[in-house]
Amino acid sequence: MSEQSSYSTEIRIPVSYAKNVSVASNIEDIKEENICMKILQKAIALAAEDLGGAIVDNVFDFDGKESKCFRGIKTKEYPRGVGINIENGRVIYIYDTYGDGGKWGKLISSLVNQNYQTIAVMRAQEELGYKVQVHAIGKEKLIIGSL
Amino acid sequence: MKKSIKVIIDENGNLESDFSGFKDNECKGEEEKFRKLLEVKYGIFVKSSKIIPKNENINRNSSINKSIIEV
Repeated sequence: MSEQSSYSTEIRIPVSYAKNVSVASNIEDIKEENICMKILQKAIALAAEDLGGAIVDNVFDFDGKESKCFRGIKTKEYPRGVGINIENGRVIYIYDTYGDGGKWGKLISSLVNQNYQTIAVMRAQEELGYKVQVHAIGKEKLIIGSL
Repeated sequence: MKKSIKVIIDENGNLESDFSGFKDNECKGEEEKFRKLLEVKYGIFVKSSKIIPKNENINRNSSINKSIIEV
């Protein structure tokens, strides 16, 4: 018997962790046991690395107005940056779409989301005893857990 | 038959999972366990889901191009 499932998902960081996170937070504020926050940070770092971007703590809109954020990613193609905040446990992306013809804002935020989910799925499968492999297929990630 | 869970994550954050090699109702139980773990421990909440029993594996391995991410 086999089964195929499709899920539409949303990432939520447990509020007990998320309430400790503010725009002024730095990495030392994040406790060892906070798995979701650690995964989020790794997802952000991987996205920045993949895109040749930098991790920042502020982003700008088209008019140059600054917004502080928990973490942000700026790339050569999208120097205004995409900010990442956590509000009531929800991961919120902040960016100005005006003039973003290349849709970099959406690309960066989607990549962070996808990285987070990939790491979480890998860890969940490992926890259930599976041997895990990860592959990229175009824009999709394939995670295979085998017993 | 080897038991496996294949998960495809698309660029819009949709997850498609494929549970293969499980006996009878074992599959449903494993799917629930996996989904709960993702939700409770890893903060991935399922907004909507569709589960289809099937007899054959999806085969998307043919276009694999590289391995990524080590945790």
